[in-house]
Amino acid sequence: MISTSAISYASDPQIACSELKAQLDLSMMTTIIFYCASSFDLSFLADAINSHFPDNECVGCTTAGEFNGSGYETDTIVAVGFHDSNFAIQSTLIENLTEFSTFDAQKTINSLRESIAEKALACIDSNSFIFSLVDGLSAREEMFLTNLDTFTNGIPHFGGSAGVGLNGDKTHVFYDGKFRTSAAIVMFINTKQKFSIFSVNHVNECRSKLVVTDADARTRQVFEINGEPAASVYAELMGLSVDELDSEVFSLHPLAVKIGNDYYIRSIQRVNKAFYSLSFYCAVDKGIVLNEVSLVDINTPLLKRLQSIRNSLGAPHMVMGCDCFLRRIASLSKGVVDKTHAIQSEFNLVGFNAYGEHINGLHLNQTFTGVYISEEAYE
Amino acid sequence: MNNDTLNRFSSKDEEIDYLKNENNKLKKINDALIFRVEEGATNDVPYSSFERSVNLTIQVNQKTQELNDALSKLQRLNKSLSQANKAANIFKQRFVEAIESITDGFVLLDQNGNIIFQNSNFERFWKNSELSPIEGSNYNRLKSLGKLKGTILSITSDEDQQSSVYHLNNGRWYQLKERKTQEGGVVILFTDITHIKEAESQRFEIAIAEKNALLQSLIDNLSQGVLLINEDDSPEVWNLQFERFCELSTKTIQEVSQLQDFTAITELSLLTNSNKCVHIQELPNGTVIDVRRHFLADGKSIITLADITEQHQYELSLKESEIWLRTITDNVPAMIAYVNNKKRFMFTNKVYNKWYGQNGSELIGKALEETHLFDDYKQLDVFISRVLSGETVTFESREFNHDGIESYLLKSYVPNISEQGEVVGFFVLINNITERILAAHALQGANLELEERVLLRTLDLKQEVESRKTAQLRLSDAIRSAELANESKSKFLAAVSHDLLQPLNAAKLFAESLFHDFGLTERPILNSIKNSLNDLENLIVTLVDISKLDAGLVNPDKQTFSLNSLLENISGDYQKISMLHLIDFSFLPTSVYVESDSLLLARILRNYLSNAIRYAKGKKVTLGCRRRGDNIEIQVWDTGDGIAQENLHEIFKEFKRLKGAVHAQHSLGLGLAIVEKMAKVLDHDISVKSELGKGSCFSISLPIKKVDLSMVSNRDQSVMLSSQILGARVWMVDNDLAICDAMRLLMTRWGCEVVTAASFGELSELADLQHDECDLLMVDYHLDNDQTGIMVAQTINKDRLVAIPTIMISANYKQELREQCKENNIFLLNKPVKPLKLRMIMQQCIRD
Repeated sequence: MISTSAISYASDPQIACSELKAQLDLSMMTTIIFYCASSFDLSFLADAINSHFPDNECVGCTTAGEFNGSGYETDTIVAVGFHDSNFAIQSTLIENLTEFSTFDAQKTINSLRESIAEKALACIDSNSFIFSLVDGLSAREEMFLTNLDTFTNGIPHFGGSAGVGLNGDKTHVFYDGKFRTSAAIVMFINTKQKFSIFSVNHVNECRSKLVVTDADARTRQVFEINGEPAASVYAELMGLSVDELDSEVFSLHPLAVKIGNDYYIRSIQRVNKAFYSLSFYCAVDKGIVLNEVSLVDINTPLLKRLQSIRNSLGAPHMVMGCDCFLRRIASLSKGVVDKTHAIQSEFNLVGFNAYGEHINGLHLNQTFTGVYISEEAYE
Repeated sequence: MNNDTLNRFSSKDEEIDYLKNENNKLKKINDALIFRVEEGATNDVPYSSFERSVNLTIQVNQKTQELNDALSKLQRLNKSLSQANKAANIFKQRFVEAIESITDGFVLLDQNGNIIFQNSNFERFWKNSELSPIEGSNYNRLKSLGKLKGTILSITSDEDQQSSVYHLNNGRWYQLKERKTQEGGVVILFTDITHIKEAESQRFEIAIAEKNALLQSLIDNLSQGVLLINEDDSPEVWNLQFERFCELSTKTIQEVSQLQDFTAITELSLLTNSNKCVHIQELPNGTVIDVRRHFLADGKSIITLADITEQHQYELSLKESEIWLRTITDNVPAMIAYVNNKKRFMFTNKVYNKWYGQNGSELIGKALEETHLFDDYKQLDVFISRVLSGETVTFESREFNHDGIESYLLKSYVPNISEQGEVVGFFVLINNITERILAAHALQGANLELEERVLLRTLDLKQEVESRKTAQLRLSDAIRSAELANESKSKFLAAVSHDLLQPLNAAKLFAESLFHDFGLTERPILNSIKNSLNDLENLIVTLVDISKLDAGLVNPDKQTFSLNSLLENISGDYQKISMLHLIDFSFLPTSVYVESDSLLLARILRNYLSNAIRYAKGKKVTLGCRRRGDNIEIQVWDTGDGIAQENLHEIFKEFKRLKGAVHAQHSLGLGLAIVEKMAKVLDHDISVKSELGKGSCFSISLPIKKVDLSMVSNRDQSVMLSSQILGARVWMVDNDLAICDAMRLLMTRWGCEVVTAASFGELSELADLQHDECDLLMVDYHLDNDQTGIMVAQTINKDRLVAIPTIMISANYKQELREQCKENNIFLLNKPVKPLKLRMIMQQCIRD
């Protein structure tokens, strides 16, 4: 066995946890990741997890949706347990994101490496990857990831920012028996299985260019675009009124910055009516150029990438993914969600809808970012 | 800012306000961009941090790519290195195995003579000696040690030092072959040649013994007897033949000590007297022996005895035959002589001597010139020179014999050529031809007269031949122009009929549709129109057929089919027609299969039947068959007036109609002419029997085909009429708009949904050719712009899941088109189209 994933649709934390426990073979696994809908009472949920899985290393986060190989879910808990025969995992918590320095990053990675060296199952440098979960509304992702990446020493890294459903305004990560804000979890995962870290978006090409003329980098707020109120400019561009702007519009008509030859989507979080400003899910700043971009079919690039990885690594055991919640909205709104589900079940996609995705030190929006874990192991 | 924006403004102020505003925005953009450029790179700003990370990632990706490239290159090199290593190992393994597998001893030395490699054979060579070479020991030291200890008895080298032979004290012999290696060492091969050495000496002894035996058998097998006598005159060696000649046993001869002692014991005289060397002796048993004694230098001598009995007898018979020859030549009535190449007579026969008045041998040995026998020797000498150069010469000469009588002589000189190719003399044969010459002179005179007469007669004949040739030329010109006229007539008819058929077809279809538009009162008129059109059509079709048959355009499509189904079909039609004419029609079925063109055969039979029903004026018509050997004769009987015997041979001619025939206005008399032509094309025999007042029988005879019933197709099963075409969707492509209209009218009446178009392009505008449902496609062959109906059908059906059944309507009667349609699975319907037939074909197509 390589890993086992489980899902519970129960709304009572105790029932949910016992259902999950029944699906997982705890005798074979140490580390379990929980993707929890934010609709649960998190303190009850934490108690339930602690009481059901007292001997396990439990980590997790809140989500804006979950999936377990058979379609997008809401109000569920998805758990992934890694079998000790194939995985050696070391996790650590970063408690205060705002004060996470380069120095802290170095210390974190070094201590993880040292611990993993004691139980590694395969060559550390070539058979390990780093997985990160971050409070998705901390506005500190970029600094945190950049610092972390400085010391990963080429070990591939991916992760996601915790999300929240319609009813909440805070995102949490779960570590050491508690749900926490402004915190992050870093996991060093060493495995015998063949794997590949990847990230796909579905940007097609630029339609028009907008210059941010006034912004607050700290709160990720853009006040002016081309010298005019940002929300008005965006709404005018879409041919809509400011009142009509919502997540669906943001997901179907994203703005992106261009660095090198690639576009990186900067997802809009909301309109601040007071200033007619736009808040973003990732870093923005004055003077950057936002491209209004057109999109291709949301499913095609993901399917193609998975197929290409399958060609080189063999059949998938599981694809652990962080799928931007705006992609979920876009897929539903475009009516192509059946196709998305088909991909999820074909490749056993397990994970959650994130507020941001991480890959190798980058904080991205509107991507599917994850790790493809093959049925095949390295020799 | 574009013009549209400018034009929006109603006043200058408004425009100025707008531009100010724009200017402010641009200033802000400017400031923002400047800020980005100048301040943007600050470290602890999230966006800059993101941007830096991206750039870093790009760089890392590039480096990683380079690293991967280098790695994969390294892997490739590594792989080829290990492959090379493997190959080297395999090579070494093979080398060792190869060296081990040779039976020779093998040793490889370095430049100092130390052993680098040796095989087990080499080790074995030294096994029982006190020397045991191991790898690393010095070969030269080994060699000198071997010599010293006596292990190596001798070493013999050949001249070029490349091979030498070792003889060891264990009795073995080794041959060494040395070869320098590239690095200055030596490879030495030790071949054990002990057995060769042993075999060599054995062979030598055997060879000597064999040689002695050979010599004795040689002597024994001589046909001569041989006796070697030593210097003391006593016999030493003799052979079997000698014993046989002397009739003495070996033992007896062994006891003889002196040569003269033989005189006592044998009749042979063995030349005991040493003065005489040769002696021929005839023994009492008739054998003739030639005895010779040869004295050798060392005082020994050899006596040889040879049986020359045969030779002796041959000499005797030669003498006898010479006498015979003389007798024969002397009695031959021709002069015969032989002259040698010195031009001297060697032989003359009696006749020769007599002619020249000589006696016997007086001429022999004399030179020709000296004999003075010839009047003109110089002239004769020319021929003599020629014969002496190898040529056979024959010539006539007029001479006088010694009695002075004039004679003509035919002389032949034949050279006698020796085996060496030299002319050693020549034979002379002379015939007296005086009488023959005189007779020839007389004959020549008569001959000259005859030749003159023949010449005159020949001249007469030539003139007559010329005039006949001219007549023939004129005749063939006339034939050619007649043929041309006939051919152009056929072409004209074909073209005219074709052009006539098109409008006629349209007219018929219109007429058909008129039935639906008019009431009962107009029916008779419409019927007349229809009948007239039908008659016209039949006439034209008949004309087309005649012209086609004449032009040789009709090629029968012969197939094997059940005759009965054809006859049933035809009889079905004529059953109805005969009822109209109040005639009793009967049909006798048959079970045979035949090979023919069913269409042509049907037309012939329909012709017979139409004639029988319409013109025979009888009460009864019968269609039946009669077997005649391997053929079957299909017969049409009528009980009509019959045809007079003298008219029977005329009825098959074109435009011949017998007088008094009823309904004459319906017939041009072309029917039987066509029958005759079609039968000719089919290679079937037709005949007619008739008796005036009783009736006629028209028949056609064709070969019966034996058939495996399972092979016969069902295609001639009858077509059932049904309403399947009701509601059928039909697409029709024909560039003749009149036909299109007429067909649409007709088929719409049958309940079809019809789409007509003049071309493929037009059709594709009217319907979705790939997806719209369609039950039947109907196409004309010739369309505009070089398109053909086949092309249209192919193009449409290519894109469809299921091909639409297709009917081709064409006035083109060519075989090529028929085959093309068959290939494309298209039903070909020739113009003019009869509505009933069209309907049946449509039903069949739709049902299939």
